[in-house]
Amino acid sequence: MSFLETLYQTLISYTGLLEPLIFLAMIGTAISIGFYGSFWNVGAEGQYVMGMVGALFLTLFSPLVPLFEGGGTVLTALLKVLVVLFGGLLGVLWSLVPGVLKAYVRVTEVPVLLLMNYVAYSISDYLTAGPWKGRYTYGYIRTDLIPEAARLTIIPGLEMLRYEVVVALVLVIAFAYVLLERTEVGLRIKFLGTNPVALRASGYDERVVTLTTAALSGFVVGVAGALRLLGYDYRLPYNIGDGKTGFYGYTAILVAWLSFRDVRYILPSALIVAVLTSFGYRMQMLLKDLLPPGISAYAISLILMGVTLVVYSIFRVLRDYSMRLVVKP
Amino acid sequence: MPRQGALYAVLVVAIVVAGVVGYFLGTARVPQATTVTVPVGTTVTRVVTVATTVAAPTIAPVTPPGKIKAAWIYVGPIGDLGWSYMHDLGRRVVESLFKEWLETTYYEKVSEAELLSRIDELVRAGYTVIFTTSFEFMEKTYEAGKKYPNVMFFHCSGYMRRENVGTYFADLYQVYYLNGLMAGALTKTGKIGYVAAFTIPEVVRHINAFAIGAREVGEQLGKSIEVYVVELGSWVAPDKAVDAARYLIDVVGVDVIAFTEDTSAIVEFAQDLYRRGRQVYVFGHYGPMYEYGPDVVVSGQLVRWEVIYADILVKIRSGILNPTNLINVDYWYLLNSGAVELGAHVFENGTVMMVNPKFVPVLKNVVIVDKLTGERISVYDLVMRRYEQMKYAPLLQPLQFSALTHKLENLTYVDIGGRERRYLVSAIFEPFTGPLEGWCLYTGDKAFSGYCRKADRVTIPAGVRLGHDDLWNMDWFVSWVKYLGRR
Repeated sequence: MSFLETLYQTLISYTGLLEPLIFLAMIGTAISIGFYGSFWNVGAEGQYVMGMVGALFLTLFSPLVPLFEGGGTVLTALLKVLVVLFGGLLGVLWSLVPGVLKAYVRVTEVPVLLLMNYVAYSISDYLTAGPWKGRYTYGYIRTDLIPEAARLTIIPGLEMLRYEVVVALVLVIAFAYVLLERTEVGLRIKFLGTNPVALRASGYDERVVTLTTAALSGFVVGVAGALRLLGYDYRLPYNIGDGKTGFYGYTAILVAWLSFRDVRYILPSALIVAVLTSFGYRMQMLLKDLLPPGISAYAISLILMGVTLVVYSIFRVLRDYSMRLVVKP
Repeated sequence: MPRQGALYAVLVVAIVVAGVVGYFLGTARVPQATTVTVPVGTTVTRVVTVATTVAAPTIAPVTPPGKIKAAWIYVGPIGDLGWSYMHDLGRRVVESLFKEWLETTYYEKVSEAELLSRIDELVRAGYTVIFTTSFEFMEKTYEAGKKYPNVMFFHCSGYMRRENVGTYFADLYQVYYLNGLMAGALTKTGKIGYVAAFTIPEVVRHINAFAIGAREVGEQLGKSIEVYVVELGSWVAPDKAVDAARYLIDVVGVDVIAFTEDTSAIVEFAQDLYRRGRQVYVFGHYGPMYEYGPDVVVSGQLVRWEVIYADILVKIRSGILNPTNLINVDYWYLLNSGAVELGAHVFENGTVMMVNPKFVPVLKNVVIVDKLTGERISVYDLVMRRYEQMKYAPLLQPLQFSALTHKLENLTYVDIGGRERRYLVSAIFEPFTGPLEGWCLYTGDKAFSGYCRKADRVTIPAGVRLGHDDLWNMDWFVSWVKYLGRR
């Protein structure tokens, strides 16, 4: 089987493709919103985990589910919306910490955001191993499964998709597009990213716009995390930082980059990255005898993503700068 | 430059278009999940005529699958030299052995969250036998079984089964007991360390067996044996494992360490300590780890998953196992089956080094009493004697195949009457035989064993042998095991 054939096989295996595609697109959109306003959201991973934590809390440890359970379609839908919004709120909380530090103390957000990821991992692990440790886990460290009523609906025939997740993706992209292209808030965010001096000169508070950007970006990531928990994971695992999130929060940065920071190109660029993530697995399955020993699927995907990023950056530089070869006489 | 910009745009557009077109072309052509020909369990139609003559019974033809595509899903990297490595070794053995009719593949480093996606891909690629080799895959494997009723799933170390989901396990507790005997002879402080991945019943069982062995020897030598347990919360965590080992050695003061962690990190750490002048004894886990610590590895546990994989695949090939009858398939293989082995090294000719030659003289010099016979023998001879005793269980293996017969496994003898009267079923020696005292890790409705549901202490009366279910649900430590918490 050739390399190209494997690539083709990857493209047609929609099961392995659609699920990362949707989550990468959603988180990529969120990161793009941040990028517009110069809020370099490399903390999506932590906001994502906090979204999961929030969703698990509401479904397992609050009276919300018994209250809504068995109340017909409308009430269960409302329950899911509430849980997802709460996940979004925790995402906001997580992005506002670096946001506030940036706006009011002038601390660069990037290291703070990165550190917040590990804080989120630790909080999740603490809860999973301590107060939230499941009763039906046979001594294993993880939480119980969330109740059936709160789980998202599987689309028959497309088992890796959930109706609610597809709807949420459409809403998120539409929201981001409308926000950035049709509203004043969006305009201010873009101003902040391109010309903060002009923003200040026209009488707007730069700090408020920074906070808005951070909050919106974190909210969408938190929503994605909550959807992930309700639709796929159903529980928090221990050692969540050990690749159990799929590192979507980090990979989606590549999606935001490849989309030229334009919401309209999020889906195509998410497709490219999703293909790269599943391609590694495909290759492992189909070409296992040709691979050097010790090279895992994940490593292949990482290499491919790295190559993509390098090629992109080179082209980007070539596009943004003109180069001349000057030979000195 | 505009030209280069355009070039780049074209490139991106081309990739995207190719992706989208390929995707839609492909969805139209995705092959249907291949169905295994299910041998309909011998349906016997009996036509009774008025003249009371019985027509010849017609039996539905059994067509076993001609070729089998089997896939393995591992939780860790296959380069770990422990758990996943040994599963993959098993895969490679059966792949070479059955190359005429078996095609295999594998996924490594798969997390619970992405398990279902990977299974979807495998089923679409035509794999009809899927082995999932981690406890945390249990619920999702069961779910996948419901989704793909024509695919056979085998889950390692779990207990959830259905028509097309079977379970299997090769348990090491007897080997840990043998390791414990050596540990009891070698320790000077009487303090023994154990680095555990999780305190699930499997690992608790191993710790207890190890502690029982250590005390059997240590007590006679006048040592007060205590086993200190540190939990990691992860199967593959070499750094954490080394930290835990360092803590056990430096702070607690242990001089022997056994572990359940899927890498050779602790062995390498101990070898490093040896080079710096400190002798700590370790026992290799799952894989052949002797080479990583020739001066510190005393012995260890080895597993041969291929024994189980070969059995499963041969039974599928011959039509015995099919997606309708796995509900009671629950392999529980012990030392007698050859699926587990005492040792830490495999020689080139395939035989096993059971005890590191470096430590054989030491073990031969320590003389104790065999509590079964009252004889005075060396610890080395005791280890070999117990090994033989547990290895020799002539009738055990058939019982270890099915959940229906597990309860017979702790029968030492069956009374068959006549001149023979007592017929040996399982091993004449079992480490988990009373009197034993223990304390519960979980109590009340959080407990999973009958003992700990009722009380927070466990007392096994003298002579009582724990059966499969007691071992399988073990949520209590013997009294000389101290749990130091998670690090």
